[in-house]
Amino acid sequence: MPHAPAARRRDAGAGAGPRTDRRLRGWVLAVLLVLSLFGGRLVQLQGTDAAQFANAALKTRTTQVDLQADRGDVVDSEGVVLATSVERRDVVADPSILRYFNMRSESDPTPRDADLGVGTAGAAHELVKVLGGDEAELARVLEGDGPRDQYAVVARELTPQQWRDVEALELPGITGHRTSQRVYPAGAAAATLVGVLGGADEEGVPKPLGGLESKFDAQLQGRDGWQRYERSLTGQQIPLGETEGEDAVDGDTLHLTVDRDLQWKAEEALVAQVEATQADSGTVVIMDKQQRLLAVASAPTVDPADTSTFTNTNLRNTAFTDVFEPGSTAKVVTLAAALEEGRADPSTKFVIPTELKRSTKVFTDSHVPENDHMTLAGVIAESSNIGTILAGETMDAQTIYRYQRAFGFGQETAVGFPAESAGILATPEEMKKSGTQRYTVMFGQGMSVTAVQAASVFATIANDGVRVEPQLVQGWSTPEGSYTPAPEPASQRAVSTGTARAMREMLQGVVSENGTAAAAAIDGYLVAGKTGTAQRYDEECGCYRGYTASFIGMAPADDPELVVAVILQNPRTNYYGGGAAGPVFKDVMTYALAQRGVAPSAAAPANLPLTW
Amino acid sequence: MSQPLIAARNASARALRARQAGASQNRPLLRVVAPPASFGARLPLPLACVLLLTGGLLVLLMMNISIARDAFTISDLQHEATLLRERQQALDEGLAAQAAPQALQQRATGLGMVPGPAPAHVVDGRVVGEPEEAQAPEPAAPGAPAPAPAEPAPTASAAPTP
Repeated sequence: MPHAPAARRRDAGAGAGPRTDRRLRGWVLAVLLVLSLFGGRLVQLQGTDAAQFANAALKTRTTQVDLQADRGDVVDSEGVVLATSVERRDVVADPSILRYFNMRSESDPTPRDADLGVGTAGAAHELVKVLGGDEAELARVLEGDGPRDQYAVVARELTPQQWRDVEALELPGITGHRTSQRVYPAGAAAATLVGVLGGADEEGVPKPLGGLESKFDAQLQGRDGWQRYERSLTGQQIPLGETEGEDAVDGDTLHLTVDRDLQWKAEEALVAQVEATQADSGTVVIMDKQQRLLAVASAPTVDPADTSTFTNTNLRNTAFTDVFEPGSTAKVVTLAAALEEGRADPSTKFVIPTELKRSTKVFTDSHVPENDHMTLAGVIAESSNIGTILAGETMDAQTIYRYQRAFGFGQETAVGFPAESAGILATPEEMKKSGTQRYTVMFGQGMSVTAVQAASVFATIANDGVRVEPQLVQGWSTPEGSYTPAPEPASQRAVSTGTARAMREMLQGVVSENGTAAAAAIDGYLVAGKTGTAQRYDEECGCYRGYTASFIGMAPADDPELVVAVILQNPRTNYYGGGAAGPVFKDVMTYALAQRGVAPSAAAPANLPLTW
Repeated sequence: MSQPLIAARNASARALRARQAGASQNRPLLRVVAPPASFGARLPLPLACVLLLTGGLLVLLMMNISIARDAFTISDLQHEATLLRERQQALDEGLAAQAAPQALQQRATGLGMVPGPAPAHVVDGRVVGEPEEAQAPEPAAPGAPAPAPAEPAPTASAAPTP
């Protein structure tokens, strides 16, 4: 190709002489030299060093951001939020930059913008308009630990709206750090059940403190993602640029069987009664006869918004973690066993002595009955220890133990609540060491249970003798919205339908005028329940001190829907189950029946003869 | 039988078939073919190339512009979505705080409301339970609207009280 133009040029400039021709050649040579230099450099850049430069360029325009996964919500059976995460911003200042705020240069303190102050004071003056508080104090914070300091936290947990206002000030050296805050709209009522999220660990991940937040931490937490993309100088993503990353996977939402309103009502009534009776602690459990836990209230509790209340004692959910000697509420198991084994029926006649010596111990009742000629129904209505022993000793220890296990004593529930206790139930072999324990377990001493286990016994009676494992989790839903119900709970028959019905009729006597818990009666509904007043084992002294007052009952007794268990530990002003726990039962049960629209009892009261 | 013999026999057979085919069609072996109609006459090739190139470049440019515009639209919309999400979150939060049972109770008590007593039910045409009037709370806050006298449940008032 170069031949043709060169030839033409020679023809055109033939008359210009050899001088011009030589100069021209010189120019061409020079141009060619320069061009070949350029060409060489180009080959060097493109051919050999290209990858290196491309990488460096990519690096400068590539940015990586962390994508934060949202922690899953905890919701009640109706989908009402019990715990959710909200976005928050921590405002962080770089004092080494803010020192020169609005200055022309580091040495020239003339303001660039005449309307604004200079230095940290000037920045503080702007910031305080949004953040509020004391301006001088804020200026001091902005100064940090000296001119070299590059990190000073100005404010924590701003709402996104507040952060937008801060951002709009366009202060150099002020950045927002995205965090997330866990909020519990139900407040203290569900705090020990749901658990609370505590402070962040070294990796910045908040650690759950007890409750379901702790149990299901992994599933709730989700997985953080990241994205790396090419961006322009102003942060705009370059289309068709390289993008890689991993999406954040939000945590799943946990659906509980709990009803938030019932939970609140139970907690409110419980806290009031714990205060009124000066009890150490208290528990209210509400479940339906399928043993879905509708409320699991525990006092004392924590205020999720106030970290100073987060103590180990307060964070426990007493319904699962506290064990106590159930006392008379365990007589239900003994008498159900006697009915099921055919050793007695509700009208079986007993003559109750004032004292009864078995093994090495002389047993008495808390009060001497007016009429010592009692039926089995009378024994439970008056809560006679001696009558229970007389009915229970017709069976051997192994038989009673079998029924206690069938009703759920001595084993953790399927809920698997953190730090859940299985209670203590001695096997017949273990009982041989102490001759009296065989008798005491019949009326609920010498053994211990949790509140959920105790309520479960009554739900089994309510459910015609079939014990369904207590449930707290209704299901899970993914962030995309697909819902997976929890697996069907295991269920097993403990006693026959007939025994369960007879037991319900007998338990109606407890709430009658002659029973121990007339205070628990509810207008329009037949209530079947049992008081418990047990001596309380105190770990501090290793002895019995104080009492455990309880009332566990179901309504309507003719067609049970709900079971409510109320347990007060060491109440000082009134330690009888009927007097201390009965009113809470009535209050909570009345509310729960109305709230769930349970029709009043259609059947007439059982009115079994209590004496003969 | 040897190979050449087979080839010879086949060759004669092919020749015979070819002769028969040629005889039946009776077509000349060569003829003059007219040159194909040329586009060059209407549009010179270099011009066509230039046009094609220019067109392609223009389309490429347009595509790039539209992609870039989409990128900006996306980030604008993403920003808007973020703002809306924040707004929704703030509203949800406020709503949850107000709908919480303890907050409702406080507000209801502040308005002079009291918890309803146990309701009476109508079962099979008869009234079960005694309908009661809710008791007004003792101290009525000054300035607060006087609590309306509590009405018994409609079902109860409709039925005769036993």
